[in-house]
Amino acid sequence: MSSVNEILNDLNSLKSDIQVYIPSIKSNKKTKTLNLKQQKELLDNLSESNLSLLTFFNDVFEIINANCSDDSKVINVIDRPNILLSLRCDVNKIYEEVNLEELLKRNKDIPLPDLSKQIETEHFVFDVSSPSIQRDYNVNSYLVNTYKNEEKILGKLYINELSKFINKIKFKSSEKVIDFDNESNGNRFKILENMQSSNFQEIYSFINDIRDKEVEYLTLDGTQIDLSPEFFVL
Amino acid sequence: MADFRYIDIQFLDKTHTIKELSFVEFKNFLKRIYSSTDIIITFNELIAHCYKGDNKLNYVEKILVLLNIRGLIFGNEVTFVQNEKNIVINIQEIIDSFNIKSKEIKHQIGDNIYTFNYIFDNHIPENKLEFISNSLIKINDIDVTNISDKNELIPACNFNELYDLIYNNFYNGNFYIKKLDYDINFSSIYTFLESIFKSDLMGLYEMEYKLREVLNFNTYDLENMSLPECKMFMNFYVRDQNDKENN
Repeated sequence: MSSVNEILNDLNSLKSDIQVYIPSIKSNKKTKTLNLKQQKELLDNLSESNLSLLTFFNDVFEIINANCSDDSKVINVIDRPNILLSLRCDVNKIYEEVNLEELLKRNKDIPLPDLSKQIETEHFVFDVSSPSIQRDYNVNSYLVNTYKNEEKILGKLYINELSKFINKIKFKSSEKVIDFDNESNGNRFKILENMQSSNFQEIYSFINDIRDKEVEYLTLDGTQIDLSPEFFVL
Repeated sequence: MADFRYIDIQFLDKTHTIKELSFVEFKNFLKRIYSSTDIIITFNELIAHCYKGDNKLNYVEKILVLLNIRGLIFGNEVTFVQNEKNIVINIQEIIDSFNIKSKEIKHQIGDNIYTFNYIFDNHIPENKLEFISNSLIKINDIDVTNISDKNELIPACNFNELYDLIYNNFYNGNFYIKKLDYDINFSSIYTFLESIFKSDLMGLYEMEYKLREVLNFNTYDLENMSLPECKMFMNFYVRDQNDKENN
């Protein structure tokens, strides 16, 4: 009789990989297909809570981390729609009358915006960039774990977005630099909460450009796919 | 000396051997039922005690073993009282309703064939994905019954459709009692089993008292005779007493 390890080796040989187009590096990456356990994890967190989308994206991160042969630090949030579309397309090519295969083919032709930028305000210079899915996961986890019992979190969600996209803040007056990579999530939140909102106007515009591009990756012939656990109910 | 208290029964195309409970064993089981916080565990203890053989029983086989044990203890008739009327049901008819062997399901997902069969759980999982993965026994020719987390082995799929396919194939058996407007199916079966196993514990103590008092039964006798046998002796005694009175 075969041992469990032998059986698992045999089973691994049955698994097939798919090629997923990663827009940020303009090339395909080999990815394992979605399994029932991962589908279950996505659906288990189906809820109406304000934080449900963040929880969903954290589940998505864990799946991409497990299935993509590439380092999750390389994969950008702007790549996420294409990866999810590909995983879903492998199971069923049609979602609510949208032909996912066609959408993925079209997405290869969408030009990518600048993923990083320097933004200057009266007192500061901000280094901003579209975050990796790893960073997105870390910041989302902080918010979910810290504020899971709070009802009013809209303001926190705004700061959460800034915390993901800002890498460095330079004070014009003193040349002092705050490197967000070296700060805890809690410190980033405190720093951002204590800055004037007017500093963030152009940063939000940059964030919106990235988010709009994500929406573009999810839209075909005017029909937009809503990325949520329901996308994986087949 | 060989133990001859075992009885062969047949269902789902296999022969199974079960032991008849002695009076004492049944009394103790009844006490256990009344104090049990999880009736399914208690029924599993009964199966472990009565079932002879190395077969690992699946969910449906366990149900059929329990119905057969019930038939051995009390006979095949069950009486329910509704609106002061007795409604008699034959256990054998219920056994026949559930004793339908279903073929394995072979389902293709992608390039592979996934084979599903009866689950070995104590209850049918409410979670559909857990139910599906617990039903999986083979991928192509590879036996996966010993793999603990089979969710990872099945690709994402239309699990609602797959769930219905498996459930309707293996667990579609039911027995509708029209007079009670009560449907016995695989989801409600343990509640039904509990109701047909539970009997008057005080009546049993009273019988034990009489068996000891008038027929001089001792503990050895009660440990070796079944409830139906004890009832028979009591009936013989009552008949003798009636004959004496009439003469």
